[in-house]
Amino acid sequence: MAKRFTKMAYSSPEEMVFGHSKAPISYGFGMKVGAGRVIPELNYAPRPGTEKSVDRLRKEYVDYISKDALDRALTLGFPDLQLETEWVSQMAAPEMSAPIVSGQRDLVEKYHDKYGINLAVRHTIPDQREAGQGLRLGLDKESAYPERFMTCVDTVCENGADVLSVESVGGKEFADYAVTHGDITAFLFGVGYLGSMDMEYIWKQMVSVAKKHKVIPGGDTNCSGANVAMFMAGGMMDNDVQKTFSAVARCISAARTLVAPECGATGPDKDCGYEGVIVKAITGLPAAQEGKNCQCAHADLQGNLMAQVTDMWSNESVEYHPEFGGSSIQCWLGTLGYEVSLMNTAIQMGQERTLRDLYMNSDRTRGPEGYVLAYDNAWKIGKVIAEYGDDYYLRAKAAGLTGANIIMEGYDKKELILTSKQLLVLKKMIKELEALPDNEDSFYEYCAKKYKDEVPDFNPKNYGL
Amino acid sequence: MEYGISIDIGTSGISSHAVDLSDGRIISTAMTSRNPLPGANVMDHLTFCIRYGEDLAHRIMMSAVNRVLENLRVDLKDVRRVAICGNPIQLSIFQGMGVDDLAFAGETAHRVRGIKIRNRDSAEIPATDVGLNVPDGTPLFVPPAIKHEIGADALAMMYKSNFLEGKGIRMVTDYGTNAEMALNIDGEIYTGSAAAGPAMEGQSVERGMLASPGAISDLEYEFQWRCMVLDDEMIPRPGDKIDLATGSLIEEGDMHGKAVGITGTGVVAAVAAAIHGNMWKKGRLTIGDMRLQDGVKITSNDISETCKAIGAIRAGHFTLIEHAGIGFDDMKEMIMSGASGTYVDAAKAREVGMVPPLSRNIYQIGNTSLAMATDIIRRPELLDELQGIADSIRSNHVMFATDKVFEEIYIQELAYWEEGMTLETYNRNLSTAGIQALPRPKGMPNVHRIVVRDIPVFGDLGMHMFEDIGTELTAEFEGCTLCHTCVDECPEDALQFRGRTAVVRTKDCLGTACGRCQLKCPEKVFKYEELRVSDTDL
Amino acid sequence: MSKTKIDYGAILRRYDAELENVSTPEAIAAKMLPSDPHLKEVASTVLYMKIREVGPVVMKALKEGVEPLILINKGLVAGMEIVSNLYAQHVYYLPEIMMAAKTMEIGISIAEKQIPGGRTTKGKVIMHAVEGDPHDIGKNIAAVMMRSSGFTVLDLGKDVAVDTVIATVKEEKPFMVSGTALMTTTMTACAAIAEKLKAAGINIPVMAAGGAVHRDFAESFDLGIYSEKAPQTPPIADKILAGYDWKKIRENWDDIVEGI
Ligand code: B12
Ligand code: SF4
Ligand code: SF4
Repeated sequence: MAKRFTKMAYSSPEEMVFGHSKAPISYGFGMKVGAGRVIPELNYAPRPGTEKSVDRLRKEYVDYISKDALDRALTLGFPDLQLETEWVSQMAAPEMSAPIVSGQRDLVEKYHDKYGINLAVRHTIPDQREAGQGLRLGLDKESAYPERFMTCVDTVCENGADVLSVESVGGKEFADYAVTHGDITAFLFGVGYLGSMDMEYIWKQMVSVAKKHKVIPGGDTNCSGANVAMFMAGGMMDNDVQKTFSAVARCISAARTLVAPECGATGPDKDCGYEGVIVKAITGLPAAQEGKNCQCAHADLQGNLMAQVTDMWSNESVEYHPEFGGSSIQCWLGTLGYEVSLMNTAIQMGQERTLRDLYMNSDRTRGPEGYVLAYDNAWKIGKVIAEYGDDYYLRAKAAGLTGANIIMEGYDKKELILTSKQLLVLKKMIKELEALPDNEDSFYEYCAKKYKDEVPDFNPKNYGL
Repeated sequence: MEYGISIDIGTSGISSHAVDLSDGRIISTAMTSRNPLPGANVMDHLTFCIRYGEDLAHRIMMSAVNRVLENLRVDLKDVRRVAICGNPIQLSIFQGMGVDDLAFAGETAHRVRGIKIRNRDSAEIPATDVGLNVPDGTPLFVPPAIKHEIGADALAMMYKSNFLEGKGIRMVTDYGTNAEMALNIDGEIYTGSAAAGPAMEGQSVERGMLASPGAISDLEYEFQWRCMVLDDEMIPRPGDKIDLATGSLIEEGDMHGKAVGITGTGVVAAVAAAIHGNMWKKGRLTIGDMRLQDGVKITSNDISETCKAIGAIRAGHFTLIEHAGIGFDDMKEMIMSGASGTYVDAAKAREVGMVPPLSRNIYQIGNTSLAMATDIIRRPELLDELQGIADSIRSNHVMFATDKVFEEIYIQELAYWEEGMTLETYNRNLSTAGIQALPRPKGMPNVHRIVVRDIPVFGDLGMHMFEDIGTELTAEFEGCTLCHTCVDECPEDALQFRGRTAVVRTKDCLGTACGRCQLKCPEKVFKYEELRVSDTDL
Repeated sequence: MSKTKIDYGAILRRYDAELENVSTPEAIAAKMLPSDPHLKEVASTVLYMKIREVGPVVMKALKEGVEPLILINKGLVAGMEIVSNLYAQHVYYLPEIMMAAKTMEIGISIAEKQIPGGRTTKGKVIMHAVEGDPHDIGKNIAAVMMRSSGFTVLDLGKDVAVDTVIATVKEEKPFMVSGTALMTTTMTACAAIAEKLKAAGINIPVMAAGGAVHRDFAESFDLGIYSEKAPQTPPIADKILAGYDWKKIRENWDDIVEGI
């Protein structure tokens, strides 16, 4: 069994602030994360069509995108930069990805040597596994996606990446159902319970390969669950998914994303895991986050707030194309870097806690998801996760319930406004979560029966059950 | 019962087995972890011979060897055969044969001094002739050297590995101070010796030490670096986990508070960590000293010394590969021998350049000298076979000292390590000189640790390790004021005074490489050459 | 506003300004290359280590009327000065300085022949790796540095007998002799050379260098002086030419080599 976090790294929320983590980590070319300075992390996507040939795609990533980014970082005088390559699916073939990984490494080394700029590259591999076909090695006879997944891990580690990450999809068959049906129990079962087990399975292997090759295992995100809920609940008048639902889903996802550090991931975790605030409160590891400067990719309701305790500030992703101010990635790097510069200036002037609170309060009541992620509330959610730390089910349930109650209290205090529909869904979720069994086995039995026909792709073997 | 005794004399210790002649089984093992002669390397030993007489050196050596035999705990009256192996310098001192042809390299020096190259072919001589305390008439078997500075120890590393077997391309290197190496291409053998120096044995490193309890013997990657510290059983156990870039302690380990120094394998790990973390730039650590646990640290100078050694080994391998006309991608099989070659983390060794970068399979095979001597005990006719092998190898010896390819590559190595020249420039310069490029290591090698220890079998009676082998050198210096400056200056605590008599313990003394006692004496009365072996000892 | 404590380096970097201080061969060349087109071409062959082109280029320049001495000093040596400059700034590395020096020497040997009575340099030194010692790489490096600084170097090679050194000194009358030793068995040759020179009444400094030699040893016999690293040799040699004897070099050693 993996290690479990049962104690909080931060003894109070007040202790948490951007740029500082309890376990700073150094790697790459002069990169020090969580050691008193926030670092910009730039993420990008190649133009459609470039993925057709190995050479073209390598050129796109290395000679155009990375070089553009590094040049702009020099122009704007940014002391540090992490590049993140989120692999397009074609890169699952090693002959496609290996030249990109090593090409970026060589380029980054060159710039570091020549200009002294601190640099590193994160590679985030695609998780193409399908629950219907099999999530574990040997199960997927059709496409061998689990095997291909591990090949990606090897390719990253063997070709000189600094950080390895993934957006893993365990439990997604339930998450999809849960989000479309507004079913928080399904989300808890899929993401909180099964997702945790799947993460334990893949992260143990990832960490061991990373260790062998001296690569940093960054972390994971529940992009495929909690972010889907967040986007679907995003629009002002979208009523399919309620923002209270996505907020509670986010809290549950924290209990899952925590499994990566429990298996040995060291951070910086994945930018798009908004639950990273909660994870940082528990583990003290450096957190990569995104918000206001990722509007090229997400319209979320906590753009400022997400910067409150970040160690690495990201733009999520932007497609490479020309803008008036240079290429798109150069423009977005500019906005990232300047934001980070502001945070670092605050640190230098001893004003970091003030800026943190400015960020946080600017979005605290913009929506329920921001409300639960405000660092004081996030810390409380972290605390119950740690309290039930030994039990995947109980800690995820506690996280969801505590998050829901925090929203309720905020509403009662008249701090947080909710629409009647949001309130209705919230109350329903609290009732539902409270009524769930108090032990793992009964919960499993209950869900297995309940979703037998609703979620046909569910296969216990995928989770070693 | 009748016994045979095999002995290996190394630069940093003597080891020996007693063997049951009826079935060839090893009965017992005895070892010292120090060479009895003053000095830390063969050159110091040679200098000692030249200055104070080969005979004195021989007598000090034999007194130590006889002590080793006593520690085998078998009745020496029943010994019927003895076999020896080791580097040519130690073997010559042991045999009481002159070493002047080894002490001076270069024909001029030989001509000027009228030195003749000595015959170091295989030999069978009476063991009592060299002063061994065994019955009269016991034969001593001496295996041949390949060429005068490529000794029987090098032959052992080839013979005792799969190096000579069958077709294919493979390389073997003894990771000692002299780094003997050989490359085999379908039976065509190229040899060389790259005199790497003692850094890989933890010497010429500020906090360096031989493997013993409290030594940091490795750094393990746990996303930061974990010091591995030898415990009282000499097993590496987890010490503190450190963020090397900031020097901060991340997590205390079981061995916290117990580290006192670092071994050569630890230093290699430190170099690998520095390179991995991109902390070695322009011949300096970008982080200042590399702070490990309990105040043990690695300085830029330590890394620089080690890198000179690593550079010499890599240049040596490279030169052999060039002379043989093969490419790095042909060189996939590597055999590492010697204590350092056995205990070092082979993957890290490849990362830093001690092993050719594209090696896929690496075999770590232990102390082959003692193993070969033991084989000779079991089968004395092996001696002729070995002479045959030695003769056949003589043709392709590459003298690095006069070799242009070696010099060209070694200069690149110096610039690469000491000045921070990039690998790109390194390769560009070599291409101008018509030499192939040095690739970066790729993938992970398969490491086969054939033995758990450098000496795999101790025998039923087990192993006796003992320290007290040294002889004492004494003198009274006229005009000495007993100010004890010399004693305070001695870095090894090898020097003390008994009344007015200065006493130097030879096994601890660094010898001519040091000479601090003499240099620092304010009265200029300390004269090392006036020291005499105290009679009680010999 | 509390401005005093801000570490701006933690917020931003001025790569533009930093870059101004970084040299490239081209930038330094633009500043330091001679303006005369012939000399510029000659100096460039050294700067860019064009070992195959230097011969023809020098020959062409001589044919077109450039004075050989000027060609050497303002062309070849000027090129080498740029190289030394680049080396000091970590733009060029050891192998490049060795190659450039080789290029320069080829040029000098061609031009020299056309100087009636031969070329005069700052002075002549004898260098060698001592008797019994095959380690000559350090000596080769030091020799290059001496030549690039305008000295004539008589390189006797490696494993050179003490008596050969003495005989050559008597014949060539250098202002300094250096011995390189990397083995503890051989370093005593330096002392032997000094002793024999002194006995012959030749009181030139004997520089002992190389891995085995330390300062205490080098200064433990009369005439002996020390040099730790190859780049320290030229400044020490300059002082000897300026009239310092071995004693005065020892007294001022730290000052002479400071920062090198
Ligand atoms: C490279 C090397 C070799 C090469 C030499 C190639 C060559 N053409 O020079 C080879 C592989 C051939 C070699 C062989 C041997 N070597 Co070897 N070798 C080394 C090594 C690894 C590096 C030496 C070196 O070149 N350093 C780099 C140069 C640039 O440094 P340097 O010479 O000191 O020069 C610098 C300064 O001293 C100074 N300097 C030097 N000369 C001058 C002159 C002047 C005027 C000035 C101002 C400055 C100056 O400037 C230089 C740069 O700044 C050392 C180990 C080590 N870590 O140092 C062993 C070492 C020197 N070798 C050693 C030995 C014993 C040998 C052998 C005798 C081994 C043997 N038993 O066979 C053989 C020689 C026998 C033979 N006939 O071949 C020993 C000496 C031990 C001792 N205490 O005496 C050493 C220390 C290694 C050891 N085993 O401990 N070696
Ligand atoms: S100071 Fe003297 S006695 Fe002590 S180690 Fe050095 S040479 Fe030997
Ligand atoms: S330093 Fe010299 S004077 Fe002082 S005790 Fe030692 S030998 Fe005697």
